[in-house]
Amino acid sequence: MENSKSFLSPAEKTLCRSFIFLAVLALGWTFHKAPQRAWANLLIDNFYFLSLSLSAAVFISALYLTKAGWAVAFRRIPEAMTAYLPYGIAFAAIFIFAGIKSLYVWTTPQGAAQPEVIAKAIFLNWKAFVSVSLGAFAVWLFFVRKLVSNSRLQDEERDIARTLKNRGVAAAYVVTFAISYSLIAIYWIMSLEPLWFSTLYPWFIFAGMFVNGIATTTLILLWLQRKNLYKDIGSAHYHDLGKMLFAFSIFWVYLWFSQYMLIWYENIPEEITHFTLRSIGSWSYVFWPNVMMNWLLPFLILLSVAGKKNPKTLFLAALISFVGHWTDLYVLIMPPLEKSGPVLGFPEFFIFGGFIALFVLIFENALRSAKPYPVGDPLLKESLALHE
Amino acid sequence: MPNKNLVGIFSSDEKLVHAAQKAKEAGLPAFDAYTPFPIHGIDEILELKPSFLPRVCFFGGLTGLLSAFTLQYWVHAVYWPMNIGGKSFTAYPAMVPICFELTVLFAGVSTFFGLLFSRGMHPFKTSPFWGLQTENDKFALVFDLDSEEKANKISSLLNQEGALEIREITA
Repeated sequence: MENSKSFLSPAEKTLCRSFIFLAVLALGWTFHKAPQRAWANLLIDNFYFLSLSLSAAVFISALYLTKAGWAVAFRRIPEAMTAYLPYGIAFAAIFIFAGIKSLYVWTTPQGAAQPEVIAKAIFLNWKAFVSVSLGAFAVWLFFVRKLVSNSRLQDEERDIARTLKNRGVAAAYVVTFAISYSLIAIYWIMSLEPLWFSTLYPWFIFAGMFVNGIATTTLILLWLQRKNLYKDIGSAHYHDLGKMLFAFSIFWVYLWFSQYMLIWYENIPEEITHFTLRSIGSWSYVFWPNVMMNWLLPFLILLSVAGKKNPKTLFLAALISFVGHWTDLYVLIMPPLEKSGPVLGFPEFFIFGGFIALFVLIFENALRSAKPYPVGDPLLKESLALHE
Repeated sequence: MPNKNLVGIFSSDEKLVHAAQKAKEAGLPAFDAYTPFPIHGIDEILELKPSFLPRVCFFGGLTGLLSAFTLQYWVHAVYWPMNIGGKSFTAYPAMVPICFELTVLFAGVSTFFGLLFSRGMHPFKTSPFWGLQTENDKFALVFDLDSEEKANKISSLLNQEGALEIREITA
Protein backbone atom coordinates (compact mmCIF):
# COMPACT_ATOMS: atom_id res chain seq x y z
CA MET A 1 0.00 0.00 0.00
CA GLU A 2 1.51 3.27 -1.08
CA ASN A 3 1.00 6.21 1.21
CA SER A 4 -0.43 8.23 -1.65
CA LYS A 5 -2.54 10.63 0.40
CA SER A 6 -0.77 13.93 0.90
CA PHE A 7 -0.10 15.06 4.42
CA LEU A 8 -0.16 18.67 3.30
CA SER A 9 -3.57 20.30 3.24
CA PRO A 10 -4.43 22.33 0.10
CA ALA A 11 -4.05 25.50 2.17
CA GLU A 12 -0.56 24.48 3.24
CA LYS A 13 0.40 23.71 -0.35
CA THR A 14 -0.84 27.13 -1.41
CA LEU A 15 1.14 28.69 1.43
CA CYS A 16 4.30 26.87 0.28
CA ARG A 17 3.77 27.95 -3.33
CA SER A 18 3.15 31.56 -2.35
CA PHE A 19 6.33 31.53 -0.25
CA ILE A 20 8.27 30.28 -3.27
CA PHE A 21 6.66 33.03 -5.35
CA LEU A 22 7.61 35.67 -2.76
CA ALA A 23 11.16 34.29 -2.67
CA VAL A 24 11.42 34.59 -6.45
CA LEU A 25 10.20 38.19 -6.20
CA ALA A 26 12.63 38.95 -3.37
CA LEU A 27 15.48 37.33 -5.28
CA GLY A 28 14.61 39.31 -8.41
CA TRP A 29 14.46 42.56 -6.45
CA THR A 30 17.80 41.83 -4.78
CA PHE A 31 19.44 40.90 -8.09
CA HIS A 32 18.25 44.23 -9.42
CA LYS A 33 19.41 46.29 -6.42
CA ALA A 34 22.43 44.39 -5.06
CA PRO A 35 23.46 41.37 -7.13
CA GLN A 36 26.22 40.38 -4.72
CA ARG A 37 23.77 40.12 -1.83
CA ALA A 38 21.45 38.02 -3.98
CA TRP A 39 24.22 35.58 -4.91
CA ALA A 40 25.32 35.38 -1.29
CA ASN A 41 21.77 34.56 -0.21
CA LEU A 42 21.49 31.94 -2.89
CA LEU A 43 24.78 30.43 -1.70
CA ILE A 44 23.71 30.44 1.97
CA ASP A 45 20.27 28.93 1.41
CA ASN A 46 21.21 26.45 -1.28
CA PHE A 47 24.26 25.27 0.66
CA TYR A 48 22.07 24.97 3.74
CA PHE A 49 19.52 22.66 2.13
CA LEU A 50 22.05 20.81 -0.03
CA SER A 51 23.95 20.03 3.16
CA LEU A 52 20.72 18.97 4.86
CA SER A 53 20.06 16.40 2.17
CA LEU A 54 23.67 15.20 2.32
CA SER A 55 23.74 15.00 6.10
CA ALA A 56 20.49 13.02 6.01
CA ALA A 57 22.38 10.51 3.87
CA VAL A 58 25.27 10.55 6.34
CA PHE A 59 22.77 9.81 9.11
CA ILE A 60 21.34 6.86 7.15
CA SER A 61 24.88 5.63 6.46
CA ALA A 62 25.71 5.86 10.15
CA LEU A 63 22.67 3.68 10.89
CA TYR A 64 23.78 1.06 8.38
CA LEU A 65 27.41 1.11 9.41
CA THR A 66 26.72 0.77 13.14
CA LYS A 67 23.90 -1.74 12.49
CA ALA A 68 21.69 0.53 14.58
CA GLY A 69 18.02 -0.27 14.82
CA TRP A 70 16.55 2.60 16.82
CA ALA A 71 15.94 5.00 13.94
CA VAL A 72 14.92 2.48 11.27
CA ALA A 73 11.20 3.09 11.92
CA PHE A 74 11.48 6.70 10.75
CA ARG A 75 14.35 6.21 8.29
CA ARG A 76 12.03 7.19 5.45
CA ILE A 77 12.20 10.78 6.73
CA PRO A 78 15.95 11.28 6.14
CA GLU A 79 15.60 9.25 2.95
CA ALA A 80 12.98 11.68 1.68
CA MET A 81 15.17 14.60 2.78
CA THR A 82 17.80 13.47 0.29
CA ALA A 83 15.34 14.16 -2.53
CA TYR A 84 16.44 17.81 -2.46
CA LEU A 85 19.89 16.76 -3.69
CA PRO A 86 19.31 17.07 -7.48
CA TYR A 87 17.58 20.43 -7.00
CA GLY A 88 20.40 21.65 -4.80
CA ILE A 89 22.91 20.57 -7.42
CA ALA A 90 20.95 22.40 -10.11
CA PHE A 91 20.94 25.61 -8.05
CA ALA A 92 24.61 25.16 -7.29
CA ALA A 93 25.36 24.73 -11.00
CA ILE A 94 23.60 28.03 -11.78
CA PHE A 95 25.56 29.63 -8.96
CA ILE A 96 28.89 28.25 -10.17
CA PHE A 97 28.46 29.25 -13.78
CA ALA A 98 26.96 32.68 -13.19
CA GLY A 99 27.68 33.78 -9.63
CA ILE A 100 31.25 33.12 -8.62
CA LYS A 101 32.62 36.24 -10.31
CA SER A 102 30.51 38.47 -8.08
CA LEU A 103 31.32 36.66 -4.80
CA TYR A 104 34.90 35.43 -4.81
CA VAL A 105 37.54 38.08 -4.72
CA TRP A 106 40.19 35.70 -6.14
CA THR A 107 38.31 35.55 -9.45
CA THR A 108 38.84 39.28 -10.06
CA PRO A 109 42.11 40.51 -11.62
CA GLN A 110 43.05 42.61 -8.56
CA GLY A 111 42.24 39.77 -6.18
CA ALA A 112 44.22 37.24 -8.20
CA ALA A 113 47.24 39.56 -8.31
CA GLN A 114 47.76 39.39 -4.54
CA PRO A 115 50.90 37.38 -3.74
CA GLU A 116 49.06 35.13 -1.26
CA VAL A 117 46.49 34.28 -3.93
CA ILE A 118 49.18 33.70 -6.55
CA ALA A 119 50.80 31.21 -4.18
CA LYS A 120 47.46 29.34 -3.96
CA ALA A 121 46.67 29.70 -7.66
CA ILE A 122 47.12 26.00 -8.35
CA PHE A 123 44.16 25.42 -6.05
CA LEU A 124 42.27 28.69 -6.29
CA ASN A 125 41.35 28.93 -9.92
CA TRP A 126 38.15 28.77 -11.87
CA LYS A 127 38.81 25.40 -13.50
CA ALA A 128 39.70 23.67 -10.25
CA PHE A 129 36.63 25.17 -8.56
CA VAL A 130 34.29 23.87 -11.27
CA SER A 131 35.86 20.43 -11.65
CA VAL A 132 35.92 19.77 -7.89
CA SER A 133 32.29 20.83 -7.63
CA LEU A 134 31.24 18.63 -10.54
CA GLY A 135 33.17 15.69 -9.11
CA ALA A 136 31.49 16.15 -5.75
CA PHE A 137 28.04 16.32 -7.38
CA ALA A 138 28.67 13.07 -9.24
CA VAL A 139 29.84 11.28 -6.10
CA TRP A 140 26.93 12.50 -3.99
CA LEU A 141 24.26 11.69 -6.59
CA PHE A 142 25.62 8.22 -7.21
CA PHE A 143 25.91 7.06 -3.59
CA VAL A 144 22.85 8.81 -2.17
CA ARG A 145 20.60 7.42 -4.91
CA LYS A 146 22.01 3.93 -4.34
CA LEU A 147 21.33 4.17 -0.60
CA VAL A 148 17.73 5.26 -1.07
CA SER A 149 16.88 2.94 -3.97
CA ASN A 150 18.30 -0.10 -2.16
CA SER A 151 16.15 0.72 0.86
CA ARG A 152 13.04 1.10 -1.30
CA LEU A 153 13.65 -2.06 -3.31
CA GLN A 154 13.87 -3.95 -0.03
CA ASP A 155 10.19 -3.17 0.60
CA GLU A 156 9.23 -5.62 -2.14
CA GLU A 157 12.06 -8.11 -1.86
CA ARG A 158 12.01 -8.48 1.96
CA ASP A 159 15.54 -9.74 1.77
CA ILE A 160 18.51 -8.93 3.97
CA ALA A 161 20.71 -8.73 0.83
CA ARG A 162 19.78 -5.06 0.33
CA THR A 163 20.83 -4.21 3.90
CA LEU A 164 24.19 -5.87 3.36
CA LYS A 165 24.60 -4.06 0.04
CA ASN A 166 23.77 -0.74 1.69
CA ARG A 167 26.41 -1.31 4.34
CA GLY A 168 28.99 -1.28 1.56
CA VAL A 169 27.40 1.73 -0.12
CA ALA A 170 27.31 3.57 3.23
CA ALA A 171 30.98 2.88 3.88
CA ALA A 172 31.96 4.11 0.43
CA TYR A 173 29.69 7.14 0.79
CA VAL A 174 31.03 8.37 4.15
CA VAL A 175 34.63 8.20 2.91
CA THR A 176 34.02 9.93 -0.41
CA PHE A 177 31.65 12.38 1.25
CA ALA A 178 34.27 13.36 3.83
CA ILE A 179 36.75 14.24 1.10
CA SER A 180 34.35 15.89 -1.34
CA TYR A 181 32.46 17.87 1.31
CA SER A 182 35.71 19.15 2.83
CA LEU A 183 36.82 20.41 -0.56
CA ILE A 184 33.43 21.98 -1.19
CA ALA A 185 33.51 23.73 2.21
CA ILE A 186 36.95 25.13 1.40
CA TYR A 187 36.07 26.21 -2.12
CA TRP A 188 32.57 27.54 -1.63
CA ILE A 189 32.88 29.20 1.77
CA MET A 190 36.46 29.45 3.03
CA SER A 191 37.75 30.91 -0.24
CA LEU A 192 35.46 33.91 0.25
CA GLU A 193 38.40 35.13 2.32
CA PRO A 194 41.27 33.82 0.19
CA LEU A 195 44.01 35.16 2.48
CA TRP A 196 42.62 33.40 5.54
CA PHE A 197 42.76 29.69 6.23
CA SER A 198 41.98 27.22 8.96
CA THR A 199 42.68 23.51 8.80
CA LEU A 200 39.73 22.78 11.07
CA TYR A 201 37.27 24.54 8.82
CA PRO A 202 35.80 21.59 6.83
CA TRP A 203 35.25 19.66 10.05
CA PHE A 204 33.49 22.60 11.54
CA ILE A 205 31.18 23.01 8.54
CA PHE A 206 30.42 19.29 8.59
CA ALA A 207 29.64 19.31 12.33
CA GLY A 208 27.15 22.13 11.86
CA MET A 209 25.43 20.47 8.96
CA PHE A 210 25.25 17.05 10.58
CA VAL A 211 23.64 18.35 13.76
CA ASN A 212 21.26 20.35 11.61
CA GLY A 213 20.31 17.17 9.74
CA ILE A 214 19.35 15.58 13.06
CA ALA A 215 17.47 18.70 14.14
CA THR A 216 15.52 18.79 10.89
CA THR A 217 14.72 15.07 11.03
CA THR A 218 13.37 15.67 14.54
CA LEU A 219 11.33 18.69 13.45
CA ILE A 220 9.81 16.79 10.52
CA LEU A 221 9.08 13.72 12.65
CA LEU A 222 7.28 15.76 15.33
CA TRP A 223 5.43 17.73 12.68
CA LEU A 224 4.25 14.57 10.88
CA GLN A 225 3.10 13.12 14.20
CA ARG A 226 0.78 16.09 14.60
CA LYS A 227 -0.65 15.01 11.26
CA ASN A 228 -1.32 11.50 12.60
CA LEU A 229 1.61 9.84 10.88
CA TYR A 230 4.27 7.80 12.67
CA LYS A 231 2.06 7.49 15.71
CA ASP A 232 3.95 4.44 16.99
CA ILE A 233 7.13 6.43 17.50
CA GLY A 234 7.35 7.52 21.09
CA SER A 235 9.38 8.80 23.96
CA ALA A 236 12.20 6.25 23.58
CA HIS A 237 12.85 7.54 20.05
CA TYR A 238 12.56 11.14 21.23
CA HIS A 239 15.10 10.37 23.92
CA ASP A 240 17.56 8.99 21.36
CA LEU A 241 17.05 11.87 18.93
CA GLY A 242 17.47 14.30 21.82
CA LYS A 243 20.72 12.61 22.81
CA MET A 244 22.04 12.88 19.25
CA LEU A 245 21.03 16.54 19.00
CA PHE A 246 22.56 17.27 22.40
CA ALA A 247 25.82 15.46 21.67
CA PHE A 248 26.35 16.94 18.22
CA SER A 249 25.53 20.49 19.27
CA ILE A 250 28.34 20.05 21.81
CA PHE A 251 30.53 18.64 19.05
CA TRP A 252 29.76 21.71 16.94
CA VAL A 253 30.73 24.14 19.69
CA TYR A 254 33.79 22.04 20.49
CA LEU A 255 35.10 22.60 16.96
CA TRP A 256 33.88 26.19 16.93
CA PHE A 257 35.79 26.94 20.09
CA SER A 258 38.89 24.97 19.09
CA GLN A 259 39.15 27.14 16.00
CA TYR A 260 38.29 30.36 17.80
CA MET A 261 40.55 29.96 20.82
CA LEU A 262 43.73 29.08 18.94
CA ILE A 263 43.35 31.95 16.51
CA TRP A 264 42.41 34.37 19.30
CA TYR A 265 45.37 33.23 21.38
CA GLU A 266 47.93 33.42 18.57
CA ASN A 267 46.67 36.78 17.40
CA ILE A 268 48.53 36.52 14.05
CA PRO A 269 47.39 39.21 11.61
CA GLU A 270 46.68 36.87 8.69
CA GLU A 271 44.51 34.59 10.82
CA ILE A 272 42.83 36.93 13.28
CA THR A 273 41.13 39.00 10.55
CA HIS A 274 38.47 36.33 10.22
CA PHE A 275 37.43 36.91 13.82
CA THR A 276 38.09 40.63 14.19
CA LEU A 277 35.64 41.15 11.35
CA ARG A 278 32.99 39.07 13.10
CA SER A 279 33.42 39.21 16.86
CA ILE A 280 34.02 42.95 17.20
CA GLY A 281 31.74 45.68 15.89
CA SER A 282 28.27 45.33 14.47
CA TRP A 283 28.77 41.77 13.22
CA SER A 284 29.20 40.67 16.85
CA TYR A 285 25.43 41.01 17.29
CA VAL A 286 25.09 38.04 14.94
CA PHE A 287 28.32 36.26 15.84
CA TRP A 288 27.70 35.75 19.57
CA PRO A 289 23.96 34.91 19.37
CA ASN A 290 25.00 32.27 16.82
CA VAL A 291 26.87 30.37 19.56
CA MET A 292 23.95 30.78 21.94
CA MET A 293 21.50 29.35 19.41
CA ASN A 294 23.60 26.44 18.22
CA TRP A 295 25.01 25.36 21.52
CA LEU A 296 23.95 27.05 24.76
CA LEU A 297 20.17 26.97 24.32
CA PRO A 298 19.93 23.39 22.98
CA PHE A 299 22.42 22.35 25.66
CA LEU A 300 20.34 23.79 28.50
CA ILE A 301 17.02 22.59 27.07
CA LEU A 302 18.22 19.04 26.39
CA LEU A 303 20.40 18.57 29.47
CA SER A 304 17.80 16.66 31.48
CA VAL A 305 16.08 13.44 30.45
CA ALA A 306 12.72 15.20 30.68
CA GLY A 307 13.90 17.82 28.20
CA LYS A 308 14.84 15.13 25.69
CA LYS A 309 11.67 13.08 26.07
CA ASN A 310 9.13 15.88 26.01
CA PRO A 311 8.19 16.47 22.35
CA LYS A 312 7.60 20.18 23.03
CA THR A 313 11.04 20.94 24.45
CA LEU A 314 12.66 18.68 21.87
CA PHE A 315 10.86 20.56 19.12
CA LEU A 316 11.97 23.88 20.59
CA ALA A 317 15.63 22.82 20.76
CA ALA A 318 15.52 21.46 17.20
CA LEU A 319 13.87 24.64 15.93
CA ILE A 320 16.50 26.83 17.60
CA SER A 321 19.21 24.70 15.96
CA PHE A 322 17.45 24.89 12.60
CA VAL A 323 17.42 28.70 12.66
CA GLY A 324 20.81 28.77 14.37
CA HIS A 325 22.57 26.93 11.57
CA TRP A 326 21.19 29.32 9.00
CA THR A 327 22.66 32.10 11.16
CA ASP A 328 25.91 30.15 11.31
CA LEU A 329 26.21 30.06 7.51
CA TYR A 330 25.12 33.68 7.33
CA VAL A 331 27.90 34.76 9.69
CA LEU A 332 30.42 32.66 7.74
CA ILE A 333 29.46 33.86 4.27
CA MET A 334 28.17 37.43 4.54
CA PRO A 335 30.79 39.38 6.56
CA PRO A 336 33.57 39.48 3.92
CA LEU A 337 31.03 40.81 1.42
CA GLU A 338 29.41 43.32 3.78
CA LYS A 339 32.32 44.48 5.90
CA SER A 340 30.50 47.47 7.41
CA GLY A 341 27.87 45.42 9.21
CA PRO A 342 25.09 42.86 8.85
CA VAL A 343 22.47 43.35 6.18
CA LEU A 344 19.52 41.40 7.42
CA GLY A 345 16.20 42.29 5.89
CA PHE A 346 13.25 41.00 3.95
CA PRO A 347 15.37 39.44 1.13
CA GLU A 348 17.11 37.16 3.64
CA PHE A 349 13.82 36.29 5.31
CA PHE A 350 11.82 35.61 2.14
CA ILE A 351 14.55 33.76 0.27
CA PHE A 352 15.10 31.44 3.25
CA GLY A 353 11.31 31.04 3.56
CA GLY A 354 11.04 30.19 -0.11
CA PHE A 355 13.77 27.56 0.17
CA ILE A 356 12.01 26.02 3.19
CA ALA A 357 8.76 25.88 1.21
CA LEU A 358 10.52 24.30 -1.77
CA PHE A 359 12.23 21.78 0.52
CA VAL A 360 8.88 20.89 2.13
CA LEU A 361 7.18 20.34 -1.24
CA ILE A 362 10.03 18.16 -2.53
CA PHE A 363 10.12 16.27 0.76
CA GLU A 364 6.38 15.63 0.71
CA ASN A 365 6.53 14.31 -2.82
CA ALA A 366 9.44 12.00 -1.99
CA LEU A 367 7.92 10.67 1.23
CA ARG A 368 4.65 9.89 -0.56
CA SER A 369 6.37 7.94 -3.31
CA ALA A 370 7.42 5.16 -0.93
CA LYS A 371 5.94 3.23 1.96
CA PRO A 372 6.07 5.22 5.24
CA TYR A 373 8.05 2.43 6.93
CA PRO A 374 10.93 0.41 5.50
CA VAL A 375 8.85 -2.77 5.81
CA GLY A 376 11.53 -5.02 4.37
CA ASP A 377 14.24 -3.98 6.80
CA PRO A 378 15.09 -6.73 9.28
CA LEU A 379 15.66 -4.13 12.01
CA LEU A 380 12.21 -2.52 11.74
CA LYS A 381 10.70 -4.74 14.41
CA GLU A 382 13.49 -3.90 16.83
CA SER A 383 13.09 -0.22 16.09
CA LEU A 384 9.34 -0.18 16.71
CA ALA A 385 9.77 -2.05 20.00
CA LEU A 386 12.40 0.41 21.21
CA HIS A 387 12.67 0.66 24.99
CA GLU A 388 14.49 3.08 27.21
CA MET B 1 18.71 -8.58 60.20
CA PRO B 2 20.00 -10.67 57.31
CA ASN B 3 17.86 -10.51 54.24
CA LYS B 4 17.00 -13.76 52.53
CA ASN B 5 16.89 -13.75 48.75
CA LEU B 6 15.89 -16.24 46.12
CA VAL B 7 17.88 -15.99 42.91
CA GLY B 8 16.86 -17.50 39.58
CA ILE B 9 19.62 -17.84 37.01
CA PHE B 10 18.77 -17.72 33.32
CA SER B 11 20.69 -18.33 30.13
CA SER B 12 19.35 -15.35 28.14
CA ASP B 13 18.04 -11.83 28.62
CA GLU B 14 14.75 -12.68 26.91
CA LYS B 15 14.04 -15.47 29.37
CA LEU B 16 14.85 -13.19 32.29
CA VAL B 17 12.57 -10.41 31.03
CA HIS B 18 9.77 -12.91 30.44
CA ALA B 19 10.17 -14.39 33.92
CA ALA B 20 10.23 -10.94 35.54
CA GLN B 21 7.05 -10.01 33.67
CA LYS B 22 5.30 -13.24 34.71
CA ALA B 23 6.38 -12.81 38.34
CA LYS B 24 5.05 -9.28 38.37
CA GLU B 25 1.70 -10.49 36.98
CA ALA B 26 1.57 -13.22 39.63
CA GLY B 27 2.00 -10.63 42.36
CA LEU B 28 5.48 -11.81 43.31
CA PRO B 29 7.60 -8.98 41.93
CA ALA B 30 11.34 -9.44 41.64
CA PHE B 31 13.33 -6.57 43.05
CA ASP B 32 16.60 -6.69 41.16
CA ALA B 33 18.41 -8.20 38.20
CA TYR B 34 22.11 -8.84 37.63
CA THR B 35 23.03 -9.06 33.97
CA PRO B 36 26.19 -8.88 31.84
CA PHE B 37 24.78 -5.91 29.89
CA PRO B 38 21.98 -3.39 30.44
CA ILE B 39 18.58 -4.74 29.42
CA HIS B 40 16.32 -2.06 27.98
CA GLY B 41 12.91 -1.95 29.58
CA ILE B 42 13.78 -4.03 32.65
CA ASP B 43 13.57 -0.98 34.94
CA GLU B 44 9.87 -0.62 34.10
CA ILE B 45 9.13 -4.26 34.87
CA LEU B 46 11.08 -4.16 38.14
CA GLU B 47 9.53 -0.76 38.91
CA LEU B 48 12.93 0.64 39.81
CA LYS B 49 12.91 4.23 41.01
CA PRO B 50 14.82 6.69 38.81
CA SER B 51 18.39 6.85 40.04
CA PHE B 52 19.74 9.96 41.77
CA LEU B 53 23.02 9.60 39.83
CA PRO B 54 22.16 12.18 37.13
CA ARG B 55 21.92 14.80 39.90
CA VAL B 56 25.23 13.66 41.42
CA CYS B 57 26.77 13.96 37.96
CA PHE B 58 25.28 17.42 37.41
CA PHE B 59 26.38 18.90 40.71
CA GLY B 60 29.79 17.20 40.43
CA GLY B 61 30.23 18.84 37.03
CA LEU B 62 29.06 22.19 38.35
CA THR B 63 31.55 21.97 41.23
CA GLY B 64 34.33 21.18 38.75
CA LEU B 65 33.36 24.12 36.53
CA LEU B 66 33.22 26.59 39.41
CA SER B 67 36.43 25.39 41.05
CA ALA B 68 38.34 25.51 37.74
CA PHE B 69 37.08 29.01 37.11
CA THR B 70 37.81 30.22 40.65
CA LEU B 71 41.29 28.72 40.65
CA GLN B 72 42.26 30.31 37.34
CA TYR B 73 40.67 33.63 38.16
CA TRP B 74 42.41 33.78 41.52
CA VAL B 75 45.81 32.81 40.08
CA HIS B 76 45.71 34.99 36.96
CA ALA B 77 43.86 38.05 38.20
CA VAL B 78 44.42 38.19 41.98
CA TYR B 79 47.40 36.26 43.31
CA TRP B 80 50.00 36.42 40.52
CA PRO B 81 48.92 38.63 37.60
CA MET B 82 51.14 38.09 34.57
CA ASN B 83 51.14 39.72 31.20
CA ILE B 84 50.80 36.93 28.65
CA GLY B 85 50.90 38.12 25.06
CA GLY B 86 49.32 41.42 26.04
CA LYS B 87 46.07 39.69 26.89
CA SER B 88 43.84 40.80 29.74
CA PHE B 89 44.50 39.20 33.14
CA THR B 90 40.98 37.79 32.97
CA ALA B 91 41.16 36.37 29.45
CA TYR B 92 38.16 34.07 29.63
CA PRO B 93 38.61 32.07 26.39
CA ALA B 94 41.95 30.79 27.71
CA MET B 95 40.18 29.48 30.82
CA VAL B 96 37.64 27.42 28.90
CA PRO B 97 39.75 24.27 28.28
CA ILE B 98 40.60 23.91 32.00
CA CYS B 99 36.98 24.56 32.95
CA PHE B 100 35.87 21.93 30.46
CA GLU B 101 38.37 19.35 31.66
CA LEU B 102 37.60 19.84 35.33
CA THR B 103 33.86 19.70 34.65
CA VAL B 104 34.31 16.33 32.96
CA LEU B 105 36.70 15.04 35.63
CA PHE B 106 34.52 16.03 38.59
CA ALA B 107 31.34 14.80 36.89
CA GLY B 108 32.92 11.45 36.06
CA VAL B 109 34.58 10.83 39.41
CA SER B 110 31.56 11.93 41.44
CA THR B 111 29.30 9.67 39.37
CA PHE B 112 31.65 6.74 39.98
CA PHE B 113 31.69 7.26 43.74
CA GLY B 114 27.98 8.07 43.73
CA LEU B 115 27.36 4.70 42.09
CA LEU B 116 29.46 2.86 44.70
CA PHE B 117 27.65 4.72 47.47
CA SER B 118 24.18 4.04 46.07
CA ARG B 119 24.97 0.29 45.91
CA GLY B 120 26.53 0.35 49.39
CA MET B 121 29.81 -0.84 47.93
CA HIS B 122 33.39 -0.21 48.96
CA PRO B 123 36.71 -1.90 48.10
CA PHE B 124 36.63 -4.23 51.13
CA LYS B 125 33.15 -5.54 50.55
CA THR B 126 32.05 -8.39 48.31
CA SER B 127 28.52 -8.40 46.99
CA PRO B 128 26.53 -11.47 48.06
CA PHE B 129 25.45 -11.81 44.45
CA TRP B 130 29.03 -12.14 43.24
CA GLY B 131 30.03 -15.39 41.62
CA LEU B 132 26.79 -16.13 39.76
CA GLN B 133 28.53 -15.79 36.36
CA THR B 134 26.42 -12.68 35.72
CA GLU B 135 29.54 -10.88 34.56
CA ASN B 136 29.95 -13.65 32.01
CA ASP B 137 26.96 -15.25 30.30
CA LYS B 138 24.29 -15.71 32.98
CA PHE B 139 21.34 -13.54 33.96
CA ALA B 140 20.15 -13.46 37.58
CA LEU B 141 16.74 -12.37 38.81
CA VAL B 142 16.58 -11.61 42.54
CA PHE B 143 13.50 -11.96 44.76
CA ASP B 144 12.96 -10.95 48.34
CA LEU B 145 12.01 -13.86 50.60
CA ASP B 146 9.83 -13.34 53.62
CA SER B 147 8.00 -16.67 53.93
CA GLU B 148 8.43 -20.32 52.99
CA GLU B 149 5.13 -20.31 51.14
CA LYS B 150 6.31 -17.47 48.95
CA ALA B 151 9.58 -19.27 48.33
CA ASN B 152 7.76 -22.32 46.94
CA LYS B 153 5.62 -20.19 44.65
CA ILE B 154 8.60 -18.29 43.28
CA SER B 155 10.59 -21.51 42.83
CA SER B 156 7.86 -23.14 40.80
CA LEU B 157 7.45 -20.00 38.71
CA LEU B 158 11.18 -19.84 38.04
CA ASN B 159 11.21 -23.52 37.10
CA GLN B 160 8.35 -22.95 34.68
CA GLU B 161 10.25 -20.08 33.10
CA GLY B 162 13.25 -22.29 32.47
CA ALA B 163 15.67 -21.13 35.14
CA LEU B 164 18.95 -23.04 34.97
CA GLU B 165 19.39 -22.90 38.71
CA ILE B 166 17.63 -21.52 41.78
CA ARG B 167 19.67 -20.42 44.73
CA GLU B 168 18.94 -19.04 48.14
CA ILE B 169 21.33 -16.26 49.09
CA THR B 170 21.46 -14.48 52.43
CA ALA B 171 22.61 -10.92 52.16
